[in-house]
Formats: sequence, structure tokens, C-alpha cells
Amino acid sequence: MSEPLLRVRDLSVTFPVRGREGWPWARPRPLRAVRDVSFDLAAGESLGIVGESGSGKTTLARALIGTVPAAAGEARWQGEDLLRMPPAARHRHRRDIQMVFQDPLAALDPRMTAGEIIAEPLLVHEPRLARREVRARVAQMMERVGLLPNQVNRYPHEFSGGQCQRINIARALVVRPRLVVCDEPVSALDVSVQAQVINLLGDLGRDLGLALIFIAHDLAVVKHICDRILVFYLGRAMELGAARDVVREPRHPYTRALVAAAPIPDPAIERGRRTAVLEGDLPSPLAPPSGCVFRTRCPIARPSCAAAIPPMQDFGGGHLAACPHTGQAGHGEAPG
Amino acid sequence: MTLLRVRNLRVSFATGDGTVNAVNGVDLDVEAGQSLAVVGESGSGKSQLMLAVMGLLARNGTAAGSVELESVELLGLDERELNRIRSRRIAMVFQDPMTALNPYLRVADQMTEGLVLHLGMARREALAESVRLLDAMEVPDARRQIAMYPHEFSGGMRQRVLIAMALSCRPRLLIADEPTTALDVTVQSRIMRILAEARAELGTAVVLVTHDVGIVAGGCEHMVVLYGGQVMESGPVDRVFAAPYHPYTEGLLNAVPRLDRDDSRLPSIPGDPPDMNRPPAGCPFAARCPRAVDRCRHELPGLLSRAPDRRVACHLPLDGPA
Repeated sequence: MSEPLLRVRDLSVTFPVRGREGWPWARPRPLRAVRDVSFDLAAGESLGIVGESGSGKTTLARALIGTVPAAAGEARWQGEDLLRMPPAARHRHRRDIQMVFQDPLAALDPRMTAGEIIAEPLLVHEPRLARREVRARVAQMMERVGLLPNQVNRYPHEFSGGQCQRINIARALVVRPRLVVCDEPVSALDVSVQAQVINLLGDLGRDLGLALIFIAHDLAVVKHICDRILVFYLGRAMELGAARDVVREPRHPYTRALVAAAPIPDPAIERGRRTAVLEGDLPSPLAPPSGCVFRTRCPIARPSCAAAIPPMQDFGGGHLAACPHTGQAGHGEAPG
Repeated sequence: MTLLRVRNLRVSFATGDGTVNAVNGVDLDVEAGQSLAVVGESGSGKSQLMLAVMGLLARNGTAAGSVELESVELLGLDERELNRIRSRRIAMVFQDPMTALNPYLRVADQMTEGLVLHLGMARREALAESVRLLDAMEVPDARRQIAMYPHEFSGGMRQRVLIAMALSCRPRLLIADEPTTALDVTVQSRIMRILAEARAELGTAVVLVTHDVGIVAGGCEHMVVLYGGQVMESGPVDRVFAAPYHPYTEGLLNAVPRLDRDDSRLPSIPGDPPDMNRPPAGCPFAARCPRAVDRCRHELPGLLSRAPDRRVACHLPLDGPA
């Protein structure tokens, strides 16, 4: 079997934090933001990571680009260990893995023009490039993401949110990366503009053979753009599989709840849907439930769920779910 | 009976860059007990429209036109008169549950304030009523939780506190401005159910201000689509979704990614919403509209009745069943 582009095994990220009750000098407790996450990403493949706020999806992304240290596990980039790489080698790989952030305006330096912003990664990663060549690459990239040539000297505040996100995408792609990690890239945009950016990312991924990691809370957005979906809850992977399978035949009770809660913009369907709503709130990540982390809100939880952490089970076709009690599909509601 | 009757409402702001017209002549009717969705993207004027109804515009904003609540004109009332109407007749839930509560006061103090002030309850009575309200909002262990400070609550829980506060004086009209935007989907469906229950039990009319057409489909009877500070289309939710008359409504409905559909390309609307500092001369949507002709760019279409209960502001409306 050929080596995947990115191979993540049992990745964990831990933050030391002081609880609300503790004394200032008390020993910090570990907050396990990401625990034992494993997945493979092939070249040109798009993986969606879905979870609610506090599920650890952003932390996972940051661990992969190296802005937070991983506590355990490994992430291999074409066979090389990303997490324990010396800084110089890591710098070389930064070029291969680029990131697009959630807040399009906040991610742009307000004192730089669009052209300067898009050129900056080129100056860092290809310092010997001639100025003429830099200008050509920037112009080419701007056209590719749907910006006009006369916008090159404008400042971020002169652009709309959707255009700012196009600048962010151009900046990420100008160094020709192999993987782009997008953290909620469309959640701050209006619906009509969101669709433009989703289509743009999909086209670019296909045309340039890019691998995408697409982090979002909106299952419908992820399903539109991704080949596979990884569902996250309280730092752990609940389900992983082909996007269509995960949405149509969710195996994990949490995924079923997510699918059931996502509104469908059609009154005829929406009124007929009567679905059980998840009870309770996300438990504190400082004191996660023993065993299965979802059991405190799970409609099919039983006493044995508290005893051991359920391993990922294969349901065929690379569709994995971490629940030993989920029967055949059909417990939840799979629309369409 | 028409509970809220808004006619030709205009909201403008004096800014350093000149006058910004956020709302440009909006008509709106809310019947008693009705649920109405006001749908629009950022900059459509949906929030300023509702703040004008509440008399809560920022200091540099002015509202003109007419806002009648139960046949009483609200525009021009002074603060004291407005305070008698707000919360008892009309109440609002704001978008950001993190900032709408006072961080220095316990939830109990904030919830009982309105009950003591507006309904003349004794403090102990008001506290018992507040606990009952939180119970109804499915806040677990309400008796204990009510003594806590806002920061000790999760976002979904704070939004439930805000809805409980807004409903505490049994208003005739509840305005909810993007009440679930800051929340996760599983929490969102619960908040929407709570709002529906409150409407059924108290007979409160609900105006849901939102950009999310998904929650409109499940939770509202009527809808008004705003764009560039103007009403583009209005009508019953079922019929507007089934066959929109306005190209913008159609574009908006198609642009939403859906779990139950597999088309890999989303039909998007090209371009960006208009800059309200420099509003376009004709139809605000003309620059992005696939059907626009010359007339659309010069002449503002009026909001005309096209079928019973349905109105549209478009020179070239889409063919729907008449």
C-alpha cells in the first residue's frame, strides 16, 4: 500500500490549565483537548472534521501545522515525523501545509495591501524569486481565486468578507502547497457568499490536486466539499467514513444526533421531522466522563459504557465508529 | 388583529462617512400569536429594523415612518413611556448570549428585576416565578443555578436565561434577533423548540430575525425577505419556499448547503451585498441578479401583491403559481 500524504496515529494534545476552584499556586491540571486521534489523508483528498465548539477540532489543526505541541502520538508527512522534526526541516514543510483561518479580516494585516499579503509567503519560501516573477505569480493567483487585477493595491478594510477570504485562500495557495488546512473558512460569511467560497475551495482542490482538511461545525457544508468526514466529540473521534455514508447512514449516536439537529431548508421535510434532541450540555473537558465520552448525553447509553473507552469498529468500506452498541443504521434519521 | 403594524419605516445613521440608510421604507405586519421570520444577510437592515421597533437605536440613528403596537404609535414616545411598553408588551432576545447579561449581577437579580418593576411582584414571589420560568426552559436544577453569575453558564444556558427573562412579563410580541447563531446545532434545535412551546402556551407572537433559512423552514409561518434595507418578498413560509417570486429569494434558498442533497456544486449568487454607504439607484439586488434589465438599475420596484398573502418587489418576478 502506498504511503498516505499524512498519517496521524494516536495524536493527543494536552494543555496545562488551572481550574476555577484551585489556588494560584496549585499544580495545573491537564486538559486533554485531543486524545488518541488516528486518520490517513491521501494526496488530493479532502477530509472534513466536524464537531461542536469545544470538541478540539481547531486544536487538532493547530497541532498539525505545528503551532501547538502534541503531547503524544505521531503525524507522518510522507513518512517523515512532523511532530519531532528539527525547526529547519519543519520550516521546509510549512510550505507544503498552509492554513486558512475563520475570521477573514482578522487574518489579514491591515497595513499591507492585498498584493503584499499574497506575495509574503513567496518572499519567505522562495527568496531568490525575481520581483517580476513574484508579481506574475500574485496576479495569476488573484485571478484564480476571483479577485480583479486592479484590487492588488487595496487594503483589507476595502474588501468585503468574502473577498477577504479569497485573499486568504490566495495567500495559502501561492506557494503551491500539497495540503491546506481550513479552520471554519466560511462560517463568518453570508449564505450567498459562503456558497461562492465553498465552490472555489472545491474547484481549487480538484484542479490543483490539493489535499484539504476542512474544519467546520456545519455538517452540510462539510458534506458538500469533502470526500470523507471525521466526527469529533470532546477531543475524541466518534466516527470516520465516506461523507455520503456518514450523513446517510450515521453509525455513532452522536453523529445521528448531529444529522437530526441540522435543519433542512424545506418546510415540507422540516415539519415532518420529529427528532429527539440531545439532553444536557457538553461536559467539562477538564473532567471528561469515564469510558465513552459521549455516554452522559447518549440516548442508548448503558452501564458498560462507563467502563472502557470503545475502540473504533469497522462497519465496512472504511466506515468506522466508536460505539459497540450501535446496531444497524436506521436508529437515527438519515434524510433524503 | 394586527399586533404590530410597521409602515414605511426608514432608519438612517449619521456617520463620519455621511448618512447611511440602513432601512429604506419597510412595511411589516405581525398578527397576534403569529410567528414571522425576518430573513436577511448582514447589512440587510434586519437588526436595525427591529432595534427601531424597540426604540433601541444607537444615538446617531433616527427612525422615520410609523411603528404601531396594538394601535399605539411607538415612534416618538419618550423613554418612560417606552419602558412601560417594553417587556410587558414587547420584548427582545439579543444575538450574543455572552454579552446580553450583566456580568456583575447574579442571574436571580437580573431575572427578578423586570417582574418587580413591571408586574409589581414582591421579591420572593418574583424569585419563585423566575425559578418556574427557568424550569420551563429546561435549565437543570434551576433553584440552585439561579443564584449563579452569568459566566458560570454555558452559551446555550445563557440564551435560555435570556428567553426566560424576555418572556417573564408575558409580552404579546417577542423579537428574537439571531437567537441561535452563536450556538451549536444540537443546542439550536432545543432553543427553537422552546420558542415554539412558549408561543403555543402564552400566545406570544414571535418575530425571528435570522440569516439561516434552515431554521425558518421548521419554525415559522410567515416570512419577510430583506435585502439592502428593503423588503424583497413576503408571504407564507411554505409557499415562498415552494415557489419564490423574487430572484434573490430563489438564490438564497438554493445557496444553502443541504444534507439531503448531493449536488457537489452549490448554486451561488455572484458578487457581494451592496454597500449601504453608497446605495444603488434602482433595485438593490440588480447588480447581482441574473434576470436584471436596464429598468432594474434605474427604477426601484414597488412591493406589490402578486397572490393572496404574497408580495414581491421585482420588475421581473419568477413565475410562481398565481
